[in-house]
Amino acid sequence: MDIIQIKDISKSYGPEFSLKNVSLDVKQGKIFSLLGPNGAGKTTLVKLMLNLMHSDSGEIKINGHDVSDKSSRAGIAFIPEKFNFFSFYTARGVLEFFGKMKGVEGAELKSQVDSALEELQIAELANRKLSRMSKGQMQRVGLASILIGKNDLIILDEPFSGLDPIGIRDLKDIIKKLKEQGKTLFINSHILLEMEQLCDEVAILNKGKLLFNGSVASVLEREKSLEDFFYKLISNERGQ
Amino acid sequence: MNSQYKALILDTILKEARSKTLIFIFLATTASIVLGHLVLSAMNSDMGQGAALSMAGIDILSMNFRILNSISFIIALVFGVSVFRSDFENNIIYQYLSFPISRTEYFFLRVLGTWLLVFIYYAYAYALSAILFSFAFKSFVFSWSHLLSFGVLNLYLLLVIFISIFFSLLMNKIGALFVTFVCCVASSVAYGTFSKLPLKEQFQDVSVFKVVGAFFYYLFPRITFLDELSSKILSKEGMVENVLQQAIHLVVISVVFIFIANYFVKKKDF
Repeated sequence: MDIIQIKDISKSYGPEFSLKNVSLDVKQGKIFSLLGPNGAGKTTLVKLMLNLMHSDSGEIKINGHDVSDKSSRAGIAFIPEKFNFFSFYTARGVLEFFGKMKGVEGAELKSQVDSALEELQIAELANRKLSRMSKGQMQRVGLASILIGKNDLIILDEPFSGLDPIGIRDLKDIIKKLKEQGKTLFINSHILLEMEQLCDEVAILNKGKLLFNGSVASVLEREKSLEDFFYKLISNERGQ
Repeated sequence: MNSQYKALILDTILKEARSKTLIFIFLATTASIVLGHLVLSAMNSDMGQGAALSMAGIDILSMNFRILNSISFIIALVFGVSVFRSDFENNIIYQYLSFPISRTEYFFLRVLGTWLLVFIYYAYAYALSAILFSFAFKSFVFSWSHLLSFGVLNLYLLLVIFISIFFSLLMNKIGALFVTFVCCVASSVAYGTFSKLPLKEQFQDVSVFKVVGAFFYYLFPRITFLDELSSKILSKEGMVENVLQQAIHLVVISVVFIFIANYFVKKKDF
């Protein structure tokens, strides 16, 4: 079953197209990565999926719901590239707030928050305010939030940015664990090596056009690595 | 009320309650009320106690409330323009809108949370004044008209907050503060002029000022009506002229404004 269905989506800023007739589907339980150089339209597509922006044409459905319907976000966890929240909150406070916004309450909320803090190894930061945390610690709080609530789809925008090598390893483990639990992960990333190891499927965007959408296995049948495939595809496009 | 609504309202109060402006106004208001209480206590001990003084206490309390009304207007304005804008400028709005709530819910819960914060400030200052002034005059200076006036003024503050948040959707904080302030003043001047004129005279001798005045009088929520109503109740100086007509206009235009604001909220790209 397709958890994300994107059909003929176009979005322009004035005369410039950010996305042009993009269509793609993401199957439930897969790790999907959206790749592309800067300005390719990746963030625009994520914003359209979260209804933060409105498309000029086309439609996007998540879990069968149009993105304009709040039900489409009922099972989504989203972490932007630089996780940021009001600095007066403690790590526990943020996670509790996220839980309440996802309809989790009482003892269940406390239990989920405690286990998320443990999972991300930030239990000792539970009562520390965000204003007193490093970027890496903040990012871990953001990542802990994806473990709160019943999320079928996890959208991560450049999740490895700002993490130290231990954090990257931990995140990869969490992503694998979430996949084992049947969750779908939609990852925007520049780090092609990590994506090759982690993902089932990739899509490559350039200047708002979808150049490729398929499995990592099919990429590796054609080229030695995802990086080579990506480089050749983008270079050909630039040459045209 | 579901947990999402409670969480978002509390979040609104918590984030704005940390404002240095609010803390300063809160402390300044407390100091002014306590100072007023000390002066009145000294006057009372010099002049003795009596019914006349108790009446003076009610008048002074009424005057005190009018000052509080003006301060509350400024707080409503400042927090109204900040509450949505700070989410946007700190890039946190993406996080809020990725939760399973509609934009309409997000917008109106922010309005409600801001209003509750102003309400808490106003209720605190109101109660402190009534208690301390009662001690100063050794009699209970509270009257029911104060409570009714308090209720009406809170409706006025709710509308000011709504209008300032509406403008903050369209422009930056400074711009929204300026435009909301100008609109509220223009609406107040237009109300002061047009509400006293018979309908025929409202459209005689048309000038630029009259056209602008008519625009604000007919197409902008008549928030000054609520301010006037609150003052009349407080001072017991009779009733606002054409109170029913003014109330109907206020409700109709406010509802139109709410629909327009909701449209902008739904259509905005973040």
